Amino acid sequence: MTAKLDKNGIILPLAIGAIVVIAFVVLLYRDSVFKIAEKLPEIKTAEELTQVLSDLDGQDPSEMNTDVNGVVTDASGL
Amino acid sequence: MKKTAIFFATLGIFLLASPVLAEDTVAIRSPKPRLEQAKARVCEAKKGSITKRVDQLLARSEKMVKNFTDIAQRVMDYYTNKVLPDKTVSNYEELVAAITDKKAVVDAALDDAKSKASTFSCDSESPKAQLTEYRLAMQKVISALKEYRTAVRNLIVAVKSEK
Repeated sequence: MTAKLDKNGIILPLAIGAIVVIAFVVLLYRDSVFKIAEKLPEIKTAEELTQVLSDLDGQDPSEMNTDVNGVVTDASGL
Repeated sequence: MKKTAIFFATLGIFLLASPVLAEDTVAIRSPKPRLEQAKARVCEAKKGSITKRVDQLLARSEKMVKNFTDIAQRVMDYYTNKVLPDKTVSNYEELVAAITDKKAVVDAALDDAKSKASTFSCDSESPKAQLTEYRLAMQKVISALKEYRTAVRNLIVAVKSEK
């Protein structure tokens, strides 16, 4: 089917050319591309701000105390 | 001839008195007591799980720092883009400075804990003492994290009250 359409043998070189061009553009602007991917979700409303506060309150560093003490307890036989 | 004999005698005394040789001699004459050998075996057996737990705790702390930093940044962006055109938080700069200060304290405490964790070795005189030091360092990290979270929280509450 492709062979019938590509009588002049032009599709393959065009496809390869397109891939090369896309790869070159991504390489050139990779910093911007990755920055978009890493961009933090924006807070738009007061409700979202409340949600962020709730998320923050949900992350308690004190919860690590048990695990920290557990490391020493685990080493009691040393 | 006499001089050569004196030279070799002096060299012999020096070599015998050298700490390197002395150490070997002691090691050969008095092997580790059985209790110490048993402890070393227990330590080697537990080393893997201990190191894994230590690394996991450090990674968890780092993740928490990143979460708090991201939240602080998002709130600052919100303040700049959504609040600032209409209203201002009077002590905004102070709140942001407090966040920066607390973050620096967390980073320093985390570096210290990492350093303590990296020195853990079953060959040391007291591996348990090393882990106790690590625990103390991690307790400082936790304490610093709590203060950092409070600083971020203070900013959110201040911004929230203005909007």
